[in-house]
Amino acid sequence: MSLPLEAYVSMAESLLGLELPPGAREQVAANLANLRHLAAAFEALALEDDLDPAPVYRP
Amino acid sequence: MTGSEIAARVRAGELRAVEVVEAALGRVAAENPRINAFTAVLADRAYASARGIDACVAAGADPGPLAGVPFAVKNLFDVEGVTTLAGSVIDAERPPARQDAAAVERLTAAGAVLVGCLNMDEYAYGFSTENAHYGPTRNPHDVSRIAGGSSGGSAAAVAAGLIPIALGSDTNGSIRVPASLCGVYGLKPTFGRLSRRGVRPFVHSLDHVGAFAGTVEDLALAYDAIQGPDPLDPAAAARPAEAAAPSLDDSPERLRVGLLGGWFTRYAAPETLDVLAVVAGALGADDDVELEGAEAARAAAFCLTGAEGGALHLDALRERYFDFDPAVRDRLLAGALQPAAWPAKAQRVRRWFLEKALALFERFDVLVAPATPFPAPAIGQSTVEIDGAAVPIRANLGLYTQPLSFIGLPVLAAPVAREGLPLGVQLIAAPWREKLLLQVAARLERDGVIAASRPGRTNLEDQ
Repeated sequence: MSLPLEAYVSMAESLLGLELPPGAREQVAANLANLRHLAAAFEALALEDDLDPAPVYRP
Repeated sequence: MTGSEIAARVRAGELRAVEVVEAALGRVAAENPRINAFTAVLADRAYASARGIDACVAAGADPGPLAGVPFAVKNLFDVEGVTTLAGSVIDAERPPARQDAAAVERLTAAGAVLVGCLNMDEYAYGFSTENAHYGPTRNPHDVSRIAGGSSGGSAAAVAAGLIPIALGSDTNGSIRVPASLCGVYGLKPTFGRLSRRGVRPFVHSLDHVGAFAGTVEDLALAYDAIQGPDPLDPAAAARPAEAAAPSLDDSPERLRVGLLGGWFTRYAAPETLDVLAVVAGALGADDDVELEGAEAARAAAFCLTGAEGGALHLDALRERYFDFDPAVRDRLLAGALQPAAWPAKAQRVRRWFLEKALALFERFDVLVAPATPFPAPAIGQSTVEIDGAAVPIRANLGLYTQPLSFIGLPVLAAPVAREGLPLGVQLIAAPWREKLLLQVAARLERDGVIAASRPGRTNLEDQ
């Protein structure tokens, strides 16, 4: 089942206080669909829990 | 004249910096209407700097290693008294910068003369410099084609011979892609090597500063001038500068070179594979090696870019949606709306992939990969045909550059000597080994394997 991306965009839009103009939601959803496709390329990677991300914040 | 030749003559008192500036501004006036590389020309500042250098030489003082060498910067670098556009009309309403970016400051201190600011993709989010507000930058080798991006103005200005050196930034390939398409050298050093102070951010986790030049020596001189720690930049590494220019002729006798295959040749046009083979042959790279996880790394870089870039511009997206470049705004918004799990995992993939790459550097000193899958496409073109299939241009120009900047490796984009449109390769080293990359590039340049080309002449004719 595919995610209802336009509905997701609409909800997230309201959560972030955005008001997209007519037509923009479809474009954003299309870009989000591309990100979802790309995320699938690394989401399935099994990484150890103690694998720290690269950036180290040094106060 | 190259930058090093200009500096040598100015330092010797054989040429006045003011004459150099006059000639550079003349070239910009004549050629920029054709290629649209410059968004600002800073004649008053340039003449004032040049007069200072000439006075310094006349007084017998040292004017610096880049004395009188004209340079220009991508318009996301702060320049005192100039509004930093970052390719945007929103930022055009900001007040002028109060001081120069660190890299501008350091090049100026080395005697180089800033002559202007250069076009780019809006907020550095693109690979083509087809800017909706300031027009497309055109490739000097064929003005119907893109210059690449996002530092397209920087690459085009050097390729057209307007200036010997330019500064750019590289988050996902924004130095290496235009360097390849315009046939010039581009250096994206190790993440943290060069200060980003005073540079409009795009993706804090991935932004790098770097340089373009028409020769390896000029690239090394520019890089050396900018190097060194900067306590005012939280991302800058506390490493001392390691000068590269004085040892360009010291390329190691025995070099272990690996040719990246797999992901790094997928979608490559036949001419891309040809230039890769030429460089691999010259370096004795017999091993075709796979960098495991490159596809995942590229995808993770893509998601992280959208997330951080989108979050950075969220306020403006709320208030000024229609003032964004249409090619940029919806990608930023989609990035900002991603589930947090994607960019969070992307950061961890970054560490995982870095370990894979570092393991390869136990076997190899340098890795070689294409810089772009194909030569410069036409302005406005959306797909290119490879092996009978239509491949989207915008999404694929950074195919080979993104995994490498994702993990902050130093990469030198080198223009391969060939007939036809320019194409470059990436020379890749382990972190902090920029000097080795410049030595290897200098050797390839001496051997005639790589060379920047000038429009109207192939780089083979330049030998």
